[in-house]
Amino acid sequence: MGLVRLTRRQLIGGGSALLGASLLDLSSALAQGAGKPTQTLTVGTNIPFTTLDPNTINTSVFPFRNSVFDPLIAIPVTDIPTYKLGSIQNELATTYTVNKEVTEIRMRVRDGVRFHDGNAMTVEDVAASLRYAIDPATGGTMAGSLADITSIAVDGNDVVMKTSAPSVDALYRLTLFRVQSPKFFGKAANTPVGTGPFKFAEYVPNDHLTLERFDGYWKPIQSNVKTLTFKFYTDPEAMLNAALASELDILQFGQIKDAATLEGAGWAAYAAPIADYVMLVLNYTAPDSALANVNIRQAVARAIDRQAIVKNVYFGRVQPITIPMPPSDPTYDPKIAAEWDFNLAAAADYVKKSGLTKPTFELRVGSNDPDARKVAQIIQGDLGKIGVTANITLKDPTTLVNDAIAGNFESNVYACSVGVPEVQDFEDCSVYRPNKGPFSGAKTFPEFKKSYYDAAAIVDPQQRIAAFKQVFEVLHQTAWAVPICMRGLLCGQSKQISGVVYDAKTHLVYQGIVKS
Amino acid sequence: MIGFIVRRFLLALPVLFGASLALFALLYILPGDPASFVLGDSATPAQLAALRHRLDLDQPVPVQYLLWLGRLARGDLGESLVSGYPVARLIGQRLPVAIELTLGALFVALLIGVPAGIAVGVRPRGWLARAIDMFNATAIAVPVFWLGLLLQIVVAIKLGWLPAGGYVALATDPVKNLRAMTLPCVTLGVGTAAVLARFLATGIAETMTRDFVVTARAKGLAPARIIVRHVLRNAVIPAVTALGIQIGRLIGGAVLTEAVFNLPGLGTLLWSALVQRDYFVIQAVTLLAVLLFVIVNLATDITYGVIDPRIRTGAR
Repeated sequence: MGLVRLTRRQLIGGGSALLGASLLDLSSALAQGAGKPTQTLTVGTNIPFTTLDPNTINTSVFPFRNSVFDPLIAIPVTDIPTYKLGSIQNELATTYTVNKEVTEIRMRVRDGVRFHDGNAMTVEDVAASLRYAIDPATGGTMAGSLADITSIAVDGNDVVMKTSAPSVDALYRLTLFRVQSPKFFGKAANTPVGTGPFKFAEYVPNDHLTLERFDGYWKPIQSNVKTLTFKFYTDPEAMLNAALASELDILQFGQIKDAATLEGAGWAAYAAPIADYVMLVLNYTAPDSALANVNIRQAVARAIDRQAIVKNVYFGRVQPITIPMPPSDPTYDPKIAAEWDFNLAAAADYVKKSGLTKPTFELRVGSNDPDARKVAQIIQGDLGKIGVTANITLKDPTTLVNDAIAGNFESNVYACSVGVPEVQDFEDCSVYRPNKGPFSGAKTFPEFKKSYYDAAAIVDPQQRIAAFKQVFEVLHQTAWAVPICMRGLLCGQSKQISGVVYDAKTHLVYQGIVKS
Repeated sequence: MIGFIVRRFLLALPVLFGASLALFALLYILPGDPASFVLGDSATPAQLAALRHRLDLDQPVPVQYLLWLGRLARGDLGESLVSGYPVARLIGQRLPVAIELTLGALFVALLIGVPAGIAVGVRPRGWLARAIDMFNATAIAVPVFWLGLLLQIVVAIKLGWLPAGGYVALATDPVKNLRAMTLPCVTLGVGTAAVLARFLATGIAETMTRDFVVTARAKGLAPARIIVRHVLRNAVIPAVTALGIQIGRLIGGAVLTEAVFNLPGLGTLLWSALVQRDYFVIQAVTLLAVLLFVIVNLATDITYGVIDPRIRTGAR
C-alpha cells in the first residue's frame, strides 16, 4: 500500500506551511528561558475547569490538558487575529503517514518518553490510551471527535488507526487527542498522569490548580517557569483587578470590554483564537413561525449590521463574518460572503417577497451573556426598520441549549465554540454539526447535509476547497444559521511574559513561556 | 442551663429538615441541566442520558430526595457532579476560609461597632455622634460587592498596600494571611459594625436615663466605670440580638465578598455550584449555612442567659 505524508495544509490546499511560529518573539524567549526554572506563573481564568479528564473536551479544560498531557501531533496558530494556522507538528509521534485512500493513519511513537509517575511510555500505552478515548463508554466527548476511527493496532513501534470510511478529518482531529497513562484510567479526577511538561500537584475545584515542572520531560522545556498555578475567578471584575494589581501574569477568557483597561496598564490584550461563532440561528422547522418562510430568513440575514455589532458590542476586537470562515481561510469566497452584507433595502425586498404582513418572531439570548443581548438589540432595531418584529427573551443558558436541541425555539443568538475555525470544525459546532446538533437527523436541511458530507469526503485539496465553498453557498440559500462574528475570548499577558504560543485546538502552550 | 441548650437544639431539628426539603424543591424548579454543563454542548444525547442515569437524575424528584436524605443520614454528602470530588472534601477545604472570614468580619464589626456605639450612646448630640451616624448610614447602604471593588481599586491597585485577592492559609504564612484577609474582613464587617453601633447606641442612650445610672452618678462613680459596669450590661441585649442576626448576614454576604476577593470559601463554592447546577454541592453548602445559622441563634440565646440570668431561669 502506498503511503503519502500529508500535512493538514496540504490536505485542504493551504499555502506554504509555517512551522511552529510564535506570536510574540518566541525565539528570543527560548534563548532567555532555558535552564532557569525558578518562576511561578499565575494564570487567572474566568472559566473554571469542569474536569481533569483529558478525554472530555470543552473550552475550560484546554489550558490544563495542554500542560499535563501531550498530543501525538499538534497545529500551532501563527497569527492573531486572522486565525492563520501552521502545519501539523510531531509531538509524541515522530512521524505520521496517511494512506492514499485516507483510511489508515500510521504514527511512529517516540522513544524515551516517561509518564509523570516515572514509568516509560510504550507504543502499547499509546494504543491503549487511544482505545480508551474512542470507546464511547470511557472516551467522553473525545469518543465523538474520533468516531471515524474504528480500530487501533500496534505494529512494531507504530500505532495504526483505521477509519470506517475515507476520512481527511481524522488526522486533524487527532490533534485533540492526549495520551494518558493506562495505569490511571478512570482516576483522572484525582490523579491525572500524562507525559506533559508540567505534572499535577494540587487541585481545589473552582479555586485553583497547581502544576509543577516535570523534570523528566522528553524534550527541553524552554521556559523558566517552575510552578504553574491556575486561579479560577467567579467574578470577572475580580480577575481584572487581580491583573491590574500584578497578581496575575496571564489572564484568560475575560471580558472583551476590559481589553483597553489592561492595555492601559501595560498588558498585551487580544482576542484569543478560540473561535466562538456568534450566530443567529433561525428555526425553519416550526410551521407556524414567520421563520418558516425562507424570504423572511433571507431578510433577517441581510438586516444584521455586523460592523455596528463589532464596534459597539465587541469594541472592534472581533472578526465580522457572513460565512463561518475568516478571510484567511482558503475556503473563504468574497463573492459568497458579500451576499449577506448589511443591506436593509435588499432585506425589505425579501420581506415584501415573503407575502407576510407584520412578521414577528421570538429572539432568544442566554441570560448569562450580556453581549448576546446587545447583539440581539442591534438586530431588533434594524429589523424594526423593515417591518419585522423580533421579541427578545432571556433564557437560562442550559435551557437555551436544550430547547435548541429539541427544536423548541424560533431564533437564538448563539455562541458556539469550535477551537479554531476550520472547515472540519463544523463537526464541533453544535449548530452546524450535520448529524447531532440542534438540526440533527430529519431536521437538517438535506441540501446542507449532503453538501457537507460530499465536501468532507473529498481528498483532493483544490476540489475540497471548491466543495466547501459550495457548502457555504448552500448555507446562504437555505439561511438557517446566520454568522455574525467570530468572537475570541479576551486574553492578556503582563509585560513580564514572553513566548506565548497558541495551539490551534488547545490554546495556550505554557512550555515556551518566559517570565522576567 | 444544659436543659435549656438541649431544648433549643431539639427545636432546631425540624428547622433543618424543613430547610432541606425546601432546598431540594427549589433546586428542581431552577432551569438547567447539570449533565449538559459537565459534558458541554458537543455531547451526544446518549452521553447526556448515560450521565443523567449515573447521577440518578433520571429518577423522580421525591426518589432523588429520599436517596439524598439516606446518604446524608449515613454522613455521605455525595460527590460533586462536576468535579467528581467528594462534597465533604470540598467543604473541608473551604470551611476554614469561611470561618476565618466570618470571624475576621465579626472582629472588625466589634472593633468599630462597640466604640462607635458607646460614643453615640453617651453623647448622642455631639459632633462625633453625628459623624458616626453618617458613617453608619453609608456603611449600611453600600452594597458589599461595591465596597469590595472600591477597596481593591484604591488600596490594592492604586496604593499597592494590600493584595487585591487570593488566600494564603494561616498555617502557611500568618503575615500573608493577615494581608490577604484584611480587605475582605473590612468589606464584610463594616456593615455589621454600623448595625451593631446603632443598636448599642440606642440601648446605651436609654439606659443612661435609668434610675440606677443616676444613682451611680450621684455616688460619684467615674463615668467610664458607670458605662462599663452598669450601662453596657443592661444595654447590650438588643445589640446581641442584632449581632446574632448579622452573623447570618455575614454568612450570606460571604458569597459576594469571597467572589470579589477570590477567596476559596464556601461562598465561591456555592456560587460556582449554582452556575454549574452542581446539586449535591448546593444542597450540602446551603444546609451547612442553615446549620451554622441555627447554631448562631442557639449561641445568641445562651448569651442572653449568661448576660441576664432572668431569661435562663424564667424569673421576672
